[in-house]
Amino acid sequence: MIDVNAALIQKVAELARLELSDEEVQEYVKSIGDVLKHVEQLNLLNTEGVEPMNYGVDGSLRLREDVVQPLEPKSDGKPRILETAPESLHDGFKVPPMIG
Amino acid sequence: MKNSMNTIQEIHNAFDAGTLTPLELTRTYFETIKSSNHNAWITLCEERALKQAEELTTDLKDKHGGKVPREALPLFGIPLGIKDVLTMDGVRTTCASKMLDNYIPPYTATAVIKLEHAGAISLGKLNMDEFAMGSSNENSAYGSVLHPTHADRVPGGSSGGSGTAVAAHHCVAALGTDTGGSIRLPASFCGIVGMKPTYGRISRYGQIAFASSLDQIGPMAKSVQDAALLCQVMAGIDAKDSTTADVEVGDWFQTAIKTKIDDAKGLRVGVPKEYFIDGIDDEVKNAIESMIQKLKSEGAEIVPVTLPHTEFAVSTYYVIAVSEASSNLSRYDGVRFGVRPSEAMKAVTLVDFYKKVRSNFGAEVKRRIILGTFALSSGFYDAYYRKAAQVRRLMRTDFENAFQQVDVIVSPVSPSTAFKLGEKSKDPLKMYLTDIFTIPASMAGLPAMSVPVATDHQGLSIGMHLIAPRFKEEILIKAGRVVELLAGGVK
Repeated sequence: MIDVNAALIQKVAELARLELSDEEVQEYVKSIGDVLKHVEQLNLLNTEGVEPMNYGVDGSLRLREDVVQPLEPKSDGKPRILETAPESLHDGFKVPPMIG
Repeated sequence: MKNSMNTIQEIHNAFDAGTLTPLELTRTYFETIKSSNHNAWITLCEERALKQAEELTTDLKDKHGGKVPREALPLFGIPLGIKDVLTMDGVRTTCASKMLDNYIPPYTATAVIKLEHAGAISLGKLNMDEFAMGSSNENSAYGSVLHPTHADRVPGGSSGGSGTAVAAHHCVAALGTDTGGSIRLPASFCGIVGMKPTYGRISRYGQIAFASSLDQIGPMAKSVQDAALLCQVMAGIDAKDSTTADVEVGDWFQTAIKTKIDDAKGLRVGVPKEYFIDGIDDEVKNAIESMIQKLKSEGAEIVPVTLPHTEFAVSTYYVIAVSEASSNLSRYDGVRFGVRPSEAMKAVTLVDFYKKVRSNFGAEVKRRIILGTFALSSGFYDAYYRKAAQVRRLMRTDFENAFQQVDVIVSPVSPSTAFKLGEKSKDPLKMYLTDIFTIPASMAGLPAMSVPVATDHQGLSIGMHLIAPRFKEEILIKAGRVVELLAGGVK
């Protein structure tokens, strides 16, 4: 059985790019520990040779032609998709400079 | 009351008779919404909706000679609520998350486009659990939604705003989304009809993803016939969602209208023994068993069936759904959309930048991302994700076997009626177990419905859960309508 401790929660949070406070870590140690303990019951089942069901549909998905369908630009000519950008510069998404 | 009519048919008849116009109806709904303290809505599109309603009111007189064009525009002048997980061009779409507090999408979900093309009016965006993660609607960044009639109780989740809004007459019907029960549970708690169609029936284009192999859009309404009509309008293949199925859509509205109690005759109704276990409220159990007896006395054949992997449903779901969620929610990086907090601008590394941005997620969302990241991580994938996906296959096989013998399976929607605010929010596992009866149909991609059949001693609604084979919405609607009639619902 997996030991859900603070180090594990911190490690996984790091992988998921989440910053947790000490209180949050403690809370998740408890609640995620409870859930994973419950999930242990799956080990009671013999699933040898069972094909995993990874998708909601059977078989392969329908493909469509790879055609660009432009989104109508704004009245000032800028791409509309930039309306959602936290920050934009000219015709692009602006991000802070990063070193490291 | 202008806005307490039960069906779209009744409203259309009132439009025909000239006793009501789409504009009057829309205004009345906004008055009700504004005087309510249920916290069911996040964003109202009043100007947009009133403009639509005004145009339809003019059209009714000038273009259609005062008669509703039911064939061409089956939802003519019908005000609806849209769960805030679905995008609408130019309308704020938050998914009840601080992460998307400022998000105004440049495109509209296919389901919403189809409803509006059929004449529907969108009143606004409904509150929900953040990113549709929850069973009580207590996980919204915009506050909990209250139960429509019992203010100290939850409406169920995650489509809690939709459940309360329909039950409290804020709109004729609403859209919900269902990943493990998020339409059916609030429908049951709020005393309305909720329908999750077969996975692949309705395009998910414009539905902000939680768990892509499970997510499905569906209607929440006051009657089976309205749910059937909305479902029929939204269903069908969409080039923008490659999982939509090329399967014929029936005239489900007519099916609902034409169904009589007599249609119970010969209906093979499966009752899975695993759904009548210890831990179910007696009143819930009695209500469902009493409805099964009624079906039997009207000529239905009651067949005991077995779904042996039911007890593993919650475990399986809370590995698969969170794994998909952890992947889907990795897109919230603060670069292309969403809120970028000022602290993020002070970050010196990219990882630090992401962490500051992702601090916008609420506690339950973070919990599920951590669980999912864990289940997919190196060294644990086979033991958790792969194992759960195998058990999911077994659960689907259970249903295939059961449907060899029956047309439809019935059960309670949930072990209890609406619980109190705060009652389960401190114990996530307890909260997750609320969904034990709705999850299996989601895992197998089956169409399912909640129909109110009774109330408990406190006046809280009890819903019957009906499940049909894949793409057999016709049978689901027919059986749901029989149950609605037997329960003394909409005539």
